[in-house]
Amino acid sequence: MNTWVIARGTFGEAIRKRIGLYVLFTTLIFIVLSQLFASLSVQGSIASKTAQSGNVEVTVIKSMAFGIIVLAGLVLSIFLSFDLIPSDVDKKTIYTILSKPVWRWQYVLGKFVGTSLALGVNIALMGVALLVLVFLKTGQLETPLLAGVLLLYLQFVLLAGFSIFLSLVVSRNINVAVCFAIYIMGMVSEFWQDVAKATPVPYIQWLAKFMHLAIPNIYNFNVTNSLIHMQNWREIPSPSQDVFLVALYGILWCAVVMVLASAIFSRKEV
Amino acid sequence: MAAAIQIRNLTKEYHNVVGGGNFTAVDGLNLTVETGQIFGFLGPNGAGKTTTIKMLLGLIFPTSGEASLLGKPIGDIQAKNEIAYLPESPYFYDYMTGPELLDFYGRLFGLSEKVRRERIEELIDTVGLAHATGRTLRQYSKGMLQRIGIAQALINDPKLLFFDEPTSGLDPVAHIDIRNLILRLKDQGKTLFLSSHQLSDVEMVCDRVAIIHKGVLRTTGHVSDLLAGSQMCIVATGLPADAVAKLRALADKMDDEDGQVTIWESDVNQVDEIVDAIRAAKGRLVSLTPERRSLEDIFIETVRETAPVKPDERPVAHED
Repeated sequence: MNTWVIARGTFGEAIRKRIGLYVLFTTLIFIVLSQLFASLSVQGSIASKTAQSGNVEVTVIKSMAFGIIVLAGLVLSIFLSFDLIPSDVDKKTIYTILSKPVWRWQYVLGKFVGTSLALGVNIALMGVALLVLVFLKTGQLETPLLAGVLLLYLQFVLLAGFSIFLSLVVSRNINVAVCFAIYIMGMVSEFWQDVAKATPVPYIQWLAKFMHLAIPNIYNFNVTNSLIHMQNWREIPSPSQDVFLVALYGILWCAVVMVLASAIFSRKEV
Repeated sequence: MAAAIQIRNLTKEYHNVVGGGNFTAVDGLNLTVETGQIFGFLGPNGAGKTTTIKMLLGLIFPTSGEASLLGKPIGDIQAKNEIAYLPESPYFYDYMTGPELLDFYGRLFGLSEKVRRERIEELIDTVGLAHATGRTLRQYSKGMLQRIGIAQALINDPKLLFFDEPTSGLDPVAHIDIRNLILRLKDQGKTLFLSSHQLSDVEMVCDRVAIIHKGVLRTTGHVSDLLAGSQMCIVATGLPADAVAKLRALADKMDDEDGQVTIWESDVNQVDEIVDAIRAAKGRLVSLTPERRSLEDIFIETVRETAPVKPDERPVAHED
C-alpha cells in the first residue's frame, strides 16, 4: 500500500520535471517531422519513380521515429531517476517519509514504480504519435508497432531501475555515466559471449563471461528492425512468443535490480 | 509514569575513510524523557542534536548503545505509527496543495479516507492555513511551509513528537503561533522532544532540558531546578580600597567602576557577610536585588566550560 502511495507522489513529481516535458515535446515534434524527412529522402531517388516509393517512405518514418523514441527514452529513463533519492535526502523530504511506518524497500520500490509510470506515459504518447503517423500514411493501424514500443519501454524501465540502484552507491555524475555505459554494453552483450568463446586468455574469458552475465542484454529488447522493414504488417504474428519472453526477461532483471537496491538501502544512512 | 524515550549509552562515530581517524558525533548519551513532558534538547551547532534525533528515528544507525521509543526499540515500524517528526527547514513535494500533502502523509499511515478528510480539515484550521488550501506549496512562504510541516507531523495524532528547530527563520507572528501550538500540544498530553536554539521559547514551554556539547551530555534537569540557582546583585559606593579587595575575595564576581562596586553572589550566607563588610567599611549600600538566571546564562556557562571545538573536530556530516 505504502509503495503505491510513494509511487503516486513520485509520478506526480516526475511528470512535472522540466526535462521530461522538454524531451517529450521535442520528441513529438521530431516524430511528426520524420514524415517530412522521409519524403525528402525519397524524392529524387530511384524508389520515387517506382511503386515502392510509398513503402520506402513508411520505412524511413518508422526508422526515424523508433530512433527518436530510443534516444528520448534513454535520456528520460536516466534523467528522471538518477536524482530521485539523492534529492529527497538533500532536501530532507525523505526524513518525513522514513520516520513514518514505511519500510525502506517500500520507499525504493515506490520510487521505481512512480518513475516507471511517468516513463510509461511519455513513451505511450510517443508510441501513439508513431502509430497515428503511420496510419495517416498507410491507412492501416499497425498495432504490432506497439509491441516494439512496449519492449523499448521495458528496457527504459530497466535502465531507470539501474539508475535508482546506482544513486544509492555512487555520485550523480558517475551514475549517469555508468547508466549510459550499461546501455552500450548491454547492446553488445552478444559480443562478450563471442569474446569468451574465442579468447584463450583465462582472465579475459572470465571478464567477458562476467560482462555477459552481469549486464542485461539490452539488444534483446530491440525488435524494431523487423517491425520497420515489414512490408505487410499482417504477415507478422502479434504479439509473438518472443515478445513475451523478452518482456519476462526484462521484468526479472528489474526484480533483481530492485532487490539489490532495497538490500543496500536498508542499511544506508540518510 | 512510563518513559516515552529511553536512551542508553547511545554513540555515533563517523570514520573518515579518506583522511583516516574517527569523529564521535554522539558519545555515550544517556537520557530519559517521561511521557507527557516537553523536553528541550539544546546545544550549539554540531553538538550532536540532529544526529541523536536521526538515530532515534532510524534514519541513521548507532555505532553502539540502545534506545527505545514508547517502549519499543528504535526502528520498530509499529512504534512509528505513534511518532511524528518535523525536520529543520523541510522540503515537501511542492506541486501538491496543503490538503494534498496531508492526504499523502495520511495514506502512509493507512488512515481511511473519512479519517483523513476530517484530520486534514481540522489540521489546516489548527495551523492557520485555511486561506491557502487551493495554493500549491510552491506558492507558500517559509512560515506557511513550517505550518504545513507541523500539520503533516500531526496527521496521525501522534503520542511522541520530534521537532527540530520548529521556529527557525520565522517572523514574530508565525513564531508566536507555533510556540502557542506547542503549548496546546502540551495541554493535550503529548510528549514533545524539542531541539531548538530559541532558548527563551524552550524556557517558556519545556518541563525538562538537556544540554549536549561535542556529542557529550553536559547537563540535564527540570527547567525550574536549573533556573533555581538565582543570585543576588549588590551595589555599593564609597568603599575604601582595602574593603574593595576584601569584597573581591568574598564575592563570586565583582565589578569596580568609578567608585561603584557591583557584586554578584549566589550563596545566601555569603550575601550577609558581604553586606556586613560594606557596612563595617562605612560604605553606602545602594541596592540589593535578587537576580534570576535565564536558560541562556546556563547554556552559555555549560558550553563555555568545555574547550572550544577545534576545526578538525567539527563534524563533516550530520551537522545540526
